[in-house]
Amino acid sequence: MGRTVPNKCALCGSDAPGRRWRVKGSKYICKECHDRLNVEIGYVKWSNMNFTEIKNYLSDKDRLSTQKTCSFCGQKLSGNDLFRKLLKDKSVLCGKCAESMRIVRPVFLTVKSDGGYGYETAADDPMKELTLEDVPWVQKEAAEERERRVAKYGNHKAVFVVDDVTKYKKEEDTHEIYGRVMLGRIDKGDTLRVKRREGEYRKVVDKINPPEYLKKSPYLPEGHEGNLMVSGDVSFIYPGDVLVVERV
Amino acid sequence: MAKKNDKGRFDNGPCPVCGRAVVSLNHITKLADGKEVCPDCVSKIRVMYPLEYVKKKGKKKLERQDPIEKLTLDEFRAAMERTPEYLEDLRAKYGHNAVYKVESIKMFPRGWFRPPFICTTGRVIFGYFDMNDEVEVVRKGASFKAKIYDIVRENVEEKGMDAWVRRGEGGYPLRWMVFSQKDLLIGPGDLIVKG
Ligand SMILES: [Zn+2]
Ligand SMILES: [Zn+2]
Ligand SMILES: [Zn+2]
Repeated sequence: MGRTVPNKCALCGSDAPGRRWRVKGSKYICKECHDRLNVEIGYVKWSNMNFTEIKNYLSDKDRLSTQKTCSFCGQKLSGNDLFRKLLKDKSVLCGKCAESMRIVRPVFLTVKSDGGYGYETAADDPMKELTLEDVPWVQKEAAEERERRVAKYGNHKAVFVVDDVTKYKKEEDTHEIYGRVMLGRIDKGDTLRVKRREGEYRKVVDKINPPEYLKKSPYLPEGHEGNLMVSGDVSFIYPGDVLVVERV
Repeated sequence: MAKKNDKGRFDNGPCPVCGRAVVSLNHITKLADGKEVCPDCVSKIRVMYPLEYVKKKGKKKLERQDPIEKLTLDEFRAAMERTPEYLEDLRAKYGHNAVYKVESIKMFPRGWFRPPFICTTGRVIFGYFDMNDEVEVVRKGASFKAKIYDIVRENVEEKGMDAWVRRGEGGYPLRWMVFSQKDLLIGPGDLIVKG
């Protein structure tokens, strides 16, 4: 006759009376933990995670917030550094150290089940597979790759390679240029330059539209892909085009 | 239906050209040597290797013929190097940023006071066309202004989850590029141009 719900919360161990919530993996959590997960992870996300995944997520989050300095360069870590990275061995890198390796360890955008019948984008970060010992050689690899790209594209504030151009909203004069930042970073207000046989065209970036995993970033950083929003005619931009932003 | 890989994701691993995921929910382009490349890389050389849909005797469904699938990975990479020049040659030849060639047309009346739907079938030679784009119809040396009412692609499976974008891209055939305006004359062989 039915299962008995354990009294102790699987997450915090409290035995406060009250309602229990079931988590995938047949564990039960208390109201406080339930509310905390809603805030820290979000209901849709945590309700699709099993107990171990939730535990790991929380401990990683905890690890990131308690570490005071970058495990590699020793610089003080800032709580609002969006690019801080927890490595496989639980060491923490500052955004600067982590992102210096990005061009050789780009985020792998793929598709996963949304938990129901649909799909959603998964942004898998290969940097999470690195340990502190890997950082020096991966940084070296990145520096060499950067040199190759500078030799290929020239030394600019940013270089962006176009995958696709789409109308943002029908009837509106806005387009999104999707692609990857090969070098540097792209900010709102940057002027993109494209060379055609008959001459050069320029387009100002009205807005940056980074991927979901970077949505708080005010710019599109090196090694990441995303959308640049521009207005007016863009019929002179094609897939494969190299857009360059000059240093000012 | 696509299967998850051992990481619980719907992809067949990284594209050998750009390193991005070859998502298994999308149509996958398999090269002559078995290598699978992602749609973003395919779209970069498509203009040079147009996709064809051909009518086969006794078959109702059009058969997809992709010249890119006859390339090896090395040939694919070489094609990527050559595409920019090829594209510039097309732009110089036609003198526009985007060109669509009409192959056939069908008219669908829309009742008393409304202009008919003029549904053209054809292919985008290069560039992009979107719904509501202001274009020109080049017909027997003259040109007329027109506005694209709608676009339906032939290769609806090509970009998987984006399959229904109503847009035409260089190297892809269109099932329909639709116009609807008074006194617009379009016929086979006419060009629709932009920019
Ligand atoms: Zn609890
Ligand atoms: Zn650091
Ligand atoms: Zn690719």
